[in-house]
Amino acid sequence: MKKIKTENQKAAKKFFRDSFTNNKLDVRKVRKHIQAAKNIYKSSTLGIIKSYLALIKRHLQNNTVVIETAEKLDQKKVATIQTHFAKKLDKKLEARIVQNPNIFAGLRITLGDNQWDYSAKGKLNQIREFLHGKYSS
Amino acid sequence: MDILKDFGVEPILLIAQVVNFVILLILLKRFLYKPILKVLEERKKKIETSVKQSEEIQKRFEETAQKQAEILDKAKVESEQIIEGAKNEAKILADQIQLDAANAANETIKRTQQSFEIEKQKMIIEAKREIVDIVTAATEKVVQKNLTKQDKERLIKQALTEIKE
Repeated sequence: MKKIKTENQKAAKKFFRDSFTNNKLDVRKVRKHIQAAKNIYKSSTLGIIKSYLALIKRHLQNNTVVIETAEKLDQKKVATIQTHFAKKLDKKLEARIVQNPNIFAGLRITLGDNQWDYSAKGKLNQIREFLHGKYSS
Repeated sequence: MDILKDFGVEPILLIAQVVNFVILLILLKRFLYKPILKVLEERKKKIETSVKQSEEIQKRFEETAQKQAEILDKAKVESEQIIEGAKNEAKILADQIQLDAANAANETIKRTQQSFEIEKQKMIIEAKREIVDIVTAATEKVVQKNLTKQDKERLIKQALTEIKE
């Protein structure tokens, strides 16, 4: 069972390595690899595709800066944020805008496992956590 | 001599009778008195021995009785001492048990008080947390309601400044 899992992961990693064109994720290649997984590895298709998609998801998360705003954000500001984080992490980043009225105002930026919260909701949460900390001892 | 004859006493017969009496006396002494005296002497000795023995027994009995009395007295004294000791030990034990019980009760009361205090503190903290949650929830609603477009613009600008820093 463990051996099969390892082999699936190996195949998924191979597909993942071959999914780039000029260091950019190529959607055509991804589709082609999924089809190949269906045709070649019939018995382990599901396992391979799951591992492959997990790798792609991880890659996208690490290379896409998600900007949450309460209101629409103009492209200039998006570019400023994108450039800042790309410069900071020394790699090319994609930007994705998510409109989220629950943050009230300001910005919340997510990149991979990291999050920077500059929203009004975030500030209120900080105040609440501070007060909880103060009154819990 | 004539007088003796006048009274009808024949000197020769008298002498013969005397001799006979002496012989009889010797014979009696030899064959009857001596054995009887010997037997009497033996019985006397036996009686004396018995008396001595009885005296000895009496003496021993008295000594034994005295020793028994002494032992009894000693045993009485010892038993009184043992009883007294046992009473003292029982008193000490009772005092100790009473003290232990009092300590245990105090400890239980103390622990219960501490437990109550901890529970009280927990409830106070929980109440404070709930108040904080209510206040922040209310603040969120107020903020959400009163934020103008200008405020939102200003907050985005401020966020961009913070990002650049």
